[in-house]
Amino acid sequence: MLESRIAEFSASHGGLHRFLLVLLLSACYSPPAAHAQTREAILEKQLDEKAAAVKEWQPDKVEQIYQRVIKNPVVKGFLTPENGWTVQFGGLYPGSGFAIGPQFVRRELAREQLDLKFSAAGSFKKYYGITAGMSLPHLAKDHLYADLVVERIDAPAVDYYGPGNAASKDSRTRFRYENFTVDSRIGIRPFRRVLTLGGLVGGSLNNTGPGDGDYPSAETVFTPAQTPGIDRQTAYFTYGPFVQFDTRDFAGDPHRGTNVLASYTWHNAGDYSEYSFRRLRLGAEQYIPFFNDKRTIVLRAAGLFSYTDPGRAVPFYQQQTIGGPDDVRGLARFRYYGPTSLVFNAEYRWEVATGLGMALFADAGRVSDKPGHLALGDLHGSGGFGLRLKSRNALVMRVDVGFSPQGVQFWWTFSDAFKRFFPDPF
Amino acid sequence: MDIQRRIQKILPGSFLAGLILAGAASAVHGADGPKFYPDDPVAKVPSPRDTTIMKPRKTDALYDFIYNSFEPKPKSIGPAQNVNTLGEVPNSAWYTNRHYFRRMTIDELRRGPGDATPPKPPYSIVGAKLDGISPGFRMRDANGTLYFIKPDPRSAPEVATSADAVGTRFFYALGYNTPENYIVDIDRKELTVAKDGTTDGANGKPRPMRQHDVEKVLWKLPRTPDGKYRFIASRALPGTPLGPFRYEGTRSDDPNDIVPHENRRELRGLHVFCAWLNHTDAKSGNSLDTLVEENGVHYVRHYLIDFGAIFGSDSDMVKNASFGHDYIIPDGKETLRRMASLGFNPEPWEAAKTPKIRGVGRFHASAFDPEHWVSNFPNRAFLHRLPDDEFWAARQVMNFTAEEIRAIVETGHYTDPRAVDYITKTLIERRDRIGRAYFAKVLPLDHFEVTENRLVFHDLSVDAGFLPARTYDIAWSRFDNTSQVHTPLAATGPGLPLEAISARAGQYFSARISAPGAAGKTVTVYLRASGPVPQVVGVDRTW
Repeated sequence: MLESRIAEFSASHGGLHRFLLVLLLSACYSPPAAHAQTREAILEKQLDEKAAAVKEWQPDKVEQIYQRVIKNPVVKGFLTPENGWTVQFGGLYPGSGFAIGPQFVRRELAREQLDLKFSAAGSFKKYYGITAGMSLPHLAKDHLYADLVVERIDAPAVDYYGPGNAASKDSRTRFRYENFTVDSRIGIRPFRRVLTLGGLVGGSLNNTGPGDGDYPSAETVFTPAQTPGIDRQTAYFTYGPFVQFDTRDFAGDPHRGTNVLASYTWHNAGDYSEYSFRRLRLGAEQYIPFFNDKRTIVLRAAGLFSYTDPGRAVPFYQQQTIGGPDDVRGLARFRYYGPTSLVFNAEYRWEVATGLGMALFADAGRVSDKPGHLALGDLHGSGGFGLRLKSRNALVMRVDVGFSPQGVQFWWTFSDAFKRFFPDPF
Repeated sequence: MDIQRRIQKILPGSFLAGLILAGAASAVHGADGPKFYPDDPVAKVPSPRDTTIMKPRKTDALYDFIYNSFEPKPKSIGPAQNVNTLGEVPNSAWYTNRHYFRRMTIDELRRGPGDATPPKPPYSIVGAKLDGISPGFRMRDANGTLYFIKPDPRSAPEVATSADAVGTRFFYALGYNTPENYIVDIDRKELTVAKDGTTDGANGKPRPMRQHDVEKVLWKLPRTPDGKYRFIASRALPGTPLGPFRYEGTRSDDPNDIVPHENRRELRGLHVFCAWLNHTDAKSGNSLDTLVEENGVHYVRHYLIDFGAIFGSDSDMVKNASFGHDYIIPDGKETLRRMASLGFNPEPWEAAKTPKIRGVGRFHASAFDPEHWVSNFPNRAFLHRLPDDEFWAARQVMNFTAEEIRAIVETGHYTDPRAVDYITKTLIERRDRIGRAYFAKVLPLDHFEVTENRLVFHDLSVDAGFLPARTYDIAWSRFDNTSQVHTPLAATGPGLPLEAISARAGQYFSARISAPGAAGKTVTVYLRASGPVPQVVGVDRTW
């Protein structure tokens, strides 16, 4: 009965039937918004759609790669060398060229009081160095510290131009220098900052030999009378006090403050007493900022004065030198040797961008055989410019170009220009 | 057989008619729906969906820096996606409309997110962060409440703690979720190390905390005149920490996170607030998501935290003079120019002076240029901002009176009263610079309402005294909410057209407002007839 009624209805109302069917179908298919009657309904729908599609969060591919790289022990040690293995750049004897090697640091041993460090490095110029050190940096409520460093270096091609302030550029020779040192230092900080008083005790075994490279070996050109110690080397026992007054804002990248250092050390030769001497080291730096610390003028004077008893001499490998990235930058490294030296530096630094700075500098220095013979005449001068790459409060890399009457020098180093005193092994 | 009969044979007339009607119905509804719905403008987002699968996630600070510093700038920027039809941000787990929308009292501004639970001694250190830029401790007070405490650097006493205390109150008033921050002077005798206290060792692994760890930090800190140590104590936020939010994209595990963060107005507009307060460290790492529960529903609440780098502070030192003016990774051309100049042509901000007042750091208004202010490295949401996002924020900044600014600054507990005077004065000047800069980019009209059959509004530039009183051209139209077509009416001027006054409920009208001398800048206000007084339901801006 029903079927016949439907058939009969379709036959007589077929067109209307189809019309309504189409209308019904089109009403079922319509843009979603047409169904929402309120804004809230739209928002609810969006939330429902998201809720249906939630999944555990994962970083994107680039970030995943970064995480894998950053967790690599070598990379981690390089970026955050607080503990464990890392890579050390530089840190060998000056003139070694590009040096690289492993370094292991272990901090906060013995109830967070003791730091240890071991490193080894080599360069393409066949320089080698091994260093082991320990430091107790926070004794007596941070009023006292103690460091001990043991180091072995082998520098096969150290330049030597001959003795004195007038050594000829044409008399360039090379020698090999091997050295084993044990240095210890104890410092007292009465106020925990600014003033440090302390003492140094150490010893060294020294050996020189024929040098590598394109230049004659030093012992074939210079006599023992000209160059004390070229024919025989001695061990040393060294000791003496030091004092430092330091108001710099950040030792790694100072913009303001004063740093004054003085030390007096006895160097007692173990094998050949004629090579014993005493040494007074004086240095002063002043940092003058302006334009909101975006410009800094740096003034520095550093003197090293060696005293010997009559008939004694400072062996050449224990003498001071000028020339290089850290004193007179327009001169070749180790250009002049002498028991006594004096260096002046002036630098104008300006910040180009956060982390990037430039500098214009002027350097002057000389050596002398005795402190009494030191005068301001015959200073060797140079000038130049440089680029500095910095982290938040420390210098990371420095490129300097120095000009002098003797030529142009290019320096690429990882240390500050004025960091010659008491290099911190830690 | 002709074509007509062929079609009729294939498609009987009734069937064809049905198809045509169906198509017309679709066209009438439009692809995106009407411009306004009956509940527009919405004031808050719908109730959140319950979330159960969210886990904490970290953001690596170095990756964040590298990614944002080198990611190309967006090629095209669309309008903010989380605003209602008035261009306002509905209340949500991200943002609450506060001071600009309901003026807070002086007491409320001082109170900020809360000041009823300052830490009470004695204190027990349960954890420490000893390395990194700023050391800090996790500490429980006598009531067992957990706080995160951080000190000032020795070189700049009061600078960071004051900044943090004041910053949390400003950002709270501006609508963000912020923690309760208290400045507290702690006597050494009140501090002990909890037996189960831990810290990360130098190898990155946790180890027991020792008294020495606390001493090592205290030795380096400045002291108050009575020998105490000053800290900022931030009360632990409610809920389970989930890590920071990012200024781009959404979290795939958060069912309520449906708008890409770079398209959220409150994050785009945050640029303006950060410029005002010199919050140069506006990065992912200074935010925090927490999973909270309300009425049995778990959802994420989004916080801004750590305001130690606002004003003249950079958390552990006085702010670097270039921050706020240069990104850390600089523009290449500008870098070369500065190299070549040998530094003999200082930037205005290099020469800007800040008086040496305890607690102020390096903070000034003289070289402040809102249009060129930048955070330390690019922030994706900031880069996506448009003039209407900036206007939304700038009017909130301009809304603060001198008295209100001073009241909030005073919560920094500066020992030198000159610091309050100076910071207040500087914020007022920076405020005005922001108003001038961003009000000029749009037609700065706001507070639309219908009163006595007139459309009234405020010109914020005129109100602030930046411009003299001016006239406006107002062109009225009937607005078809479905087809979104404007049909011009004869009426001009602020008086409502007769058609609008006598319209039946549900009809829409628009008023397009422009001003001489502000070419290209218009505001279109939409009214909906409802009851005796038409309601303002929409605002569109062009620039």
